[in-house]
Amino acid sequence: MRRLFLFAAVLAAAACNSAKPPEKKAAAVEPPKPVEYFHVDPATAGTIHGRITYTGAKPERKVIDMDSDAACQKAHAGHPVYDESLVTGKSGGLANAFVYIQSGLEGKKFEPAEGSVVLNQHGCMFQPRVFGIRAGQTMAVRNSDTVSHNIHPKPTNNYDWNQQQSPGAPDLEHRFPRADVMIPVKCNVHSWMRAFIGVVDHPYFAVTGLDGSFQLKNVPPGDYTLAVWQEKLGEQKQTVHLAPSGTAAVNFTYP
Amino acid sequence: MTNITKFALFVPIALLAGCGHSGPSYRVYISNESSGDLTIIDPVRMEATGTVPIGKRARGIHPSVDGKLIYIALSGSPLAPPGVDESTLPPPDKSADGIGVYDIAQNKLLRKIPGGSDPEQFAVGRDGTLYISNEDAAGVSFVDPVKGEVLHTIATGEEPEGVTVTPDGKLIYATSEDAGTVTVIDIATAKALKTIKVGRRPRNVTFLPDGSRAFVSNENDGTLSVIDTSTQEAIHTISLGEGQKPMGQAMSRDGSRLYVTTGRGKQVFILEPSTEKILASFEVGQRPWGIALSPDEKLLFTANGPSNDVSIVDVATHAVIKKVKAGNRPWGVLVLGQ
Repeated sequence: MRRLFLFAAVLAAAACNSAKPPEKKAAAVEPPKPVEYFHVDPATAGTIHGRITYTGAKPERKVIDMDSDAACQKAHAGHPVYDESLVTGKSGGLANAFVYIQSGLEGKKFEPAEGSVVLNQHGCMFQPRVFGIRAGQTMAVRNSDTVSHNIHPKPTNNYDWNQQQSPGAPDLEHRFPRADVMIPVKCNVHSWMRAFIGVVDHPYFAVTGLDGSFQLKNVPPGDYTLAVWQEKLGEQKQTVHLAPSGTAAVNFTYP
Repeated sequence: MTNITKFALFVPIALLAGCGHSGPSYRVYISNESSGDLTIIDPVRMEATGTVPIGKRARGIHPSVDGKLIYIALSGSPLAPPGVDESTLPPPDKSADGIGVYDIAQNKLLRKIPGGSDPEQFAVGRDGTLYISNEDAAGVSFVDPVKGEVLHTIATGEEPEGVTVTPDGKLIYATSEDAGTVTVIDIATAKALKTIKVGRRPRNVTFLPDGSRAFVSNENDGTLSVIDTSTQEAIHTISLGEGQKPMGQAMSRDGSRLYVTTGRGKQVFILEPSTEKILASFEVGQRPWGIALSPDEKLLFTANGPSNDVSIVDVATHAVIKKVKAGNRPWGVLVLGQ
């Protein structure tokens, strides 16, 4: 009997050994490859420029009702504050339109943007109302008011958040890692406060002023879709061919 | 095994079986916004008895008409406050938006049906139709939960939030956070009838059992608007005081008491709807939002988001009897009989 046990034990040990997987050699850890950024050749880069105009009836300027917060009213010393959702300048120039290259830059990774973009809360209004920022770039949210705000971006392609910010509190810093055009921003305390952020993964964007004009410089030659977005009027787009060292004019008209 | 041994084993087993309570007549279901699951609480033992994964950003929670299913609003637009490095997180997933359908008997999520973009709050009509507020779309969607189809979307004010069906089942009252209004929608014709101005950032609507009055919690004003439903006019405003942020509401069956959570105010207020007087207020926990009464109306449950727990309150003494650990960021409370 004892011999039988011994034989079985030896057999089991042999079986166990044979079932052992062969020892794996430790895989060599490869260092992460450095990101290869696309560099624009200044010898061939060109410019896309144009103008956004509004030909509809000039909108009546509505006064924002800040009655619910005396401190907000006081910040404007009794002066009326007008709604900025559709602002036009001379000759029908459309302000606060966000213009950007929507397609044609695929596969090109641009160097990250340095510095931060400030979104200020001043007089219970966001300043600026419309702005562009690079994906991954820092946005610094500032409260210059004597009242608390609660900033609340509502992204589509990034994460939702809202954060209360007291007067005098340090800037809130945030980065949107993914392109997202446009992210509406509101204040959960003051319902009239609105801003819009265009997050893009390249440096070719602009926000129009009162004359409605824009200019995108240092653009590599190519075929692009250029898009313009306005909060009340929506999006329009056009294709554009930019020849080496060329200049291309693209105009948009609303409605 | 000898007979003596068998007897020795039998006695304690029989005793243990006899000692066990027969189980609660109801359960408390909590939707957890950050952990995306459902916490099930036994109100007799006052502890969580289970956690069921439901889906992303679970918020609004209501039973089906037959009480066999629970619907939970889900959203693929998760939260990431400043300080969180979003680039390390997966991108938002709009395909996760919808209404989760949880089967109570099977204790599992059956399916997810469409609920429009980023659904948060909703109501269940008498015929089982879901009425869902879609903040992005500035409207209320009518959804057939069986077919999983969006039937209509009715425009409301910007950023609709709370949705409640009138006790007679004919109308919907939907708040608009942005406009500070309540839109009255006729269910039969799927048309908006009227928009009523209330306070700032209205969150929820609750009706008296006879439907004669609606109470609207205005978060940014710290007030409740009282609407006369016969004229569809806001007739009074009840102030809860400085620092209060009225959110969720629960009405007693006889309409004699209205319980209101106040978010960052940390409290529950008890109002007497007939006199519109505040009878009491007491602290329950961190940022209570969802609130519900037990069927015998002796206990009150509040979902306390930041502290990840649910307060169980003795209605008679206003004492928090126990805080039960829930999932991450508990949002809604549903009390449902077995």
